[in-house]
Parts: sequence; C-alpha cells; structure tokens
Amino acid sequence: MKKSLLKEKYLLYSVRQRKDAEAYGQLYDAYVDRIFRFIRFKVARTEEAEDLTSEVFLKTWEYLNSHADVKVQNFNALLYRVARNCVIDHYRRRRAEEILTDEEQMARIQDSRDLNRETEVKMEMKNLEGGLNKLKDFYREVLILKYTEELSVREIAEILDKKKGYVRVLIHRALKALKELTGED
Amino acid sequence: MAKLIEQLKELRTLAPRKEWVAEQREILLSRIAAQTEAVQPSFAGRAWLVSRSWIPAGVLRYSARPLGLVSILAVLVLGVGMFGVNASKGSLPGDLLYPVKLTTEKVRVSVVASEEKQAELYVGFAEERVKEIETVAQQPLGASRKAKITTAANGLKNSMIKAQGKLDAAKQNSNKDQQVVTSVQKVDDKSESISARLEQKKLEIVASDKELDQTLTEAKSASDQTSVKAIEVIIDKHSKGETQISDQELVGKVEQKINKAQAEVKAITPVTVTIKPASQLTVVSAKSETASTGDIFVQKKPSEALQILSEAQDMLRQGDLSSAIEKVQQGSAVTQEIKQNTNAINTNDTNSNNANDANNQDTNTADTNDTNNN
Repeated sequence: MKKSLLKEKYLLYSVRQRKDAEAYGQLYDAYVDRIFRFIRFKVARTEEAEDLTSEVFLKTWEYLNSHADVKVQNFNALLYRVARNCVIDHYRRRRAEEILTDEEQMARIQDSRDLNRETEVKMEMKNLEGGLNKLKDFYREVLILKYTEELSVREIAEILDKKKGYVRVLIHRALKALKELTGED
Repeated sequence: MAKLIEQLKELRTLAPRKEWVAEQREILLSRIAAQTEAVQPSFAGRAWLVSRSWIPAGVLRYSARPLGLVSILAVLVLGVGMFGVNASKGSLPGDLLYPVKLTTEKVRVSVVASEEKQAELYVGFAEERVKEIETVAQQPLGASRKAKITTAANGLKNSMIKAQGKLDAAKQNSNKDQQVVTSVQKVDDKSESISARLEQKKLEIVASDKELDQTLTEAKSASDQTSVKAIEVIIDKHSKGETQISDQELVGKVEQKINKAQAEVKAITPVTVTIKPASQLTVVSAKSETASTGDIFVQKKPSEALQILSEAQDMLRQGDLSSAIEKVQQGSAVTQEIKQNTNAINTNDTNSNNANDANNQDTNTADTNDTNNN
C-alpha cells in the first residue's frame, strides 16, 4: 500500500472514530484544489464554485459521521460524488435553464475571462474553453475527470456509479464531440 | 485528438485562490469543532492508533494475514474436516461442498502478497469456472443445469473483474521486478485461453438454451477485458523500462488484440428494426443511457466500433501503444453495448412473438367458439 494511501486511511479513521477536525483539515488540503476545479467547470462563476466546494466538504464530514457503518473504500470517489450531487442540487434550487439570461451571459463571459487568466490561456485554450462550455454536461464531466484530473476509468466509473464499459464509450464520444466543436484534430 | 487531450491536461493549472483556501479551512474546522466534541479513544486505542501509523504497511499485512488464515482454516477444518476441504475441489455449483471450494479460493488469495500474483490466482479461479461450465453443459437440459451454468459464469465474470482490479494495482505499483511482467503475461495468456473456450462452449450451450446467451457473453467479455488490461500493464511497464520484452513483440501483441476486437465486431449479426406507426409502438427499455429515453430503440451500427479500432491501428503505426490499447478498450466497450442491445431487441421480439401467438390462439379459440355457437 502506498504511503499516501495509508496516511489517508489513518486520517479517515481519525475522522470517523475520533471526530478529529484537524485530520479532516489535512484531507481538505489534499483534495480542495481538485474538487474546486471539478465544480468550476460545471458552474458559471468562480464564486459559485467556491461556495459549492465549501458545501461539499461540510456535507462529506456530515456523511462520514452519520454513516459510521458504511465502509468508505475510496475517499476520492466519495468526494466527487458529493460534489456532483451538490451541483445538481444547486441547479435545482436555482431552477437553472439552458438559455441563460443576459445578465448571466455577461457573468459567464466575464468569468470566462477570469478562467482564461487563471489558466494562462493561449488562443487554443480559449477555443477549448468555448468548446467545453458548449458540450453536454456529462461529456464535459467525464473529460475533466479523465484528462484534467487524470483519474482512471475504474475511478470514474465509481464516481458516476456506472460500468467501466459505459465510461469508456462516454470518453470516446465526448472527445469526438469536443473535436467537432473546436475544429481541432 | 492528442492535442485536445494535452490541452485538457493543461486545465489542471486552474486552482482556487490560496487565501480563499486558507480562509475556508479555518471556517470549516471551526464549524466542525462546534458541531461535535472529539471522542477520545481509550489508552489501548490511542496506543494502537499511534503505533499503527508508524508500523510499515507491509509488516501489518504480513502479520495480520497468517492470523486471519489460521482462524479461517480452523473454521473450515472444524466445520468440514481436511477431507472435506479436499473433497470440495471437484464440486460443481449446487453441490453441498461448492461453498467450501469458493471459500478455499478466497483463503488462497489472502495469503498471496503481490497484486500480480493475486491477479494470476483470480484468473486461475476463472479457469476453474470454465471447467465447471464445460462439465455442467453435459448434464441434461433443465432449470437446474441452467442455474448451475449461470452461477459458474457469474463467478467467472467476478473473478475476472477482481483480476482486472489487481492488474490496475500492479500497474500503479513501483515494483520493477521482471517477475511482475512475467505474471501479467501469464494472466494475458490464460485469459485468452479462457475466452476461446468460453466462445466454443457458448455456441453449444446457446443452441439449446438461448437465455444463457447474455450471461455467457458477459463472462467472455470480462475475459477479453482482462486480457487487454494485462497488455495495458505490460505497455506501461515497458515504457518505464521495467520489462525485457522487445518492442516488436509488444507491437505484435497489441495488433493481435486489435484484430481480435475487429473480428468480434464483424461477427455481430445486424438487427433490422422496423419503424412502426405510432399506434403500434412498443417501447423497449433502453439499457444504454446514451439512447433517448422513452423513444424507439434503434440498433447501433457496428461502424462506430470499427472506426475506433481503425484509430487504434493508426496509433499503433505511430508507435503510441498506450493510446492504441485504450482505443481497443473503447472499441470493445461499444461492441459490448451493441451485443447487449441486440440481445434486448431479440428478447423483446421473442416476447412479442409469443404474445402475438397467444393472441392469435385466443382469436382462433374465440372464432371456433363462435362457429360452434352458430
């Protein structure tokens, strides 16, 4: 077992058995960047992503301590699942529609400029970001998990609660769709 | 595509503001602390927690396993005796000692340290399941035979899935011993052999019992996936210089997988679906979530799978072995989807035909009654 995995298991054990806040803080340090990034590609604004990321970690803490009998095999997968559910709930609360209002369009454009700055974007990246925005959510999600977060097919299948075969097919179709949208080869 | 993938990887530089991260950490921990009081373990518990964090994982594993093994073996021996454990070796699904056989297999895995050796064991168990299927297939037709074959086939599939998990772990492992690759190669060879035997047996069994088609297809698919996964691991080890296998040999193996996957696609019998008027629509529940919900289910053509495999060949020619094998996995996943959908359509057609036959029979009966009444 790798050292980092053993440490994570020890931290999880501390959180669940001793309700150790500092141990949970260490888990937060290890995962906050990737959870923020995952959510950032699903919502329009950075502020929304920040709020939802905080919500994810609080909800995960509550889950860990209210489901003591449930074994957590993969904390990484658990966090991503909670993150997906938080985003879904968020849109349900907002009664999000596919067509954004003018105000939301402006916010999106403004935030896309922030996104560009954050990633030190070049022209190709602007093109990529435009393509990603137009992609269906489940296509975008699987591409981010696979290539940006570099998760394995098995891990992604666990997060999405789907079979590995389905995930592989989804990755192929998502890349193809993104290629068509960006005109890249 | 490679360029797109590289660009997607670059998105990794996106990160939250450092000050926000620190601020939120403080808020989160204070909220948590306010919600709960920390539970202090007993002295023994604390001592164990502290010592466990310092004791190397390997030591913990090696000391725990023999203890676990002794206790499980004690239960087995007390329960069935040493003769019982040996007698279970030839048992078949449904036999009294079959659960003992399966438990013995689990114990065997638990005493093996390395992931690649565990993968080898799981594939060995899968081979045992094939033998069981071959034996049971010779029994007379009936519900019992069908149940036994289903049990064995599902057991095979599960063993293969576990083997794939162990191969993944072996890939992540930094062990550079050539023995790792040797074991993985054995997994590939054995999985191929199991797949071939299953294919042959499936034809015989399904000829007399179509309902076993899906179960056996899934078992075979799991074997194929394990074989491809083994190649994926070998490619990874090769790229790190941890194998003695030659480039040529590895390219040959990948090419063999591509050819096999293409043959699988071409062997699929196309299904024609007639689009009926709205009043006669029968909605087939779409097992694939990529199909439109509530719409008419339309059989996907194999062209998508063939296109993916063609891309695999292109990547192979360019020397990108890991992308090529990934494409093989994607192509196989599409093929599996097509087979499942074909099976669903065929099952639906069979049920419809049976329903129509029943309706016709009722109509005929009614007509006969009318005639008799007249």
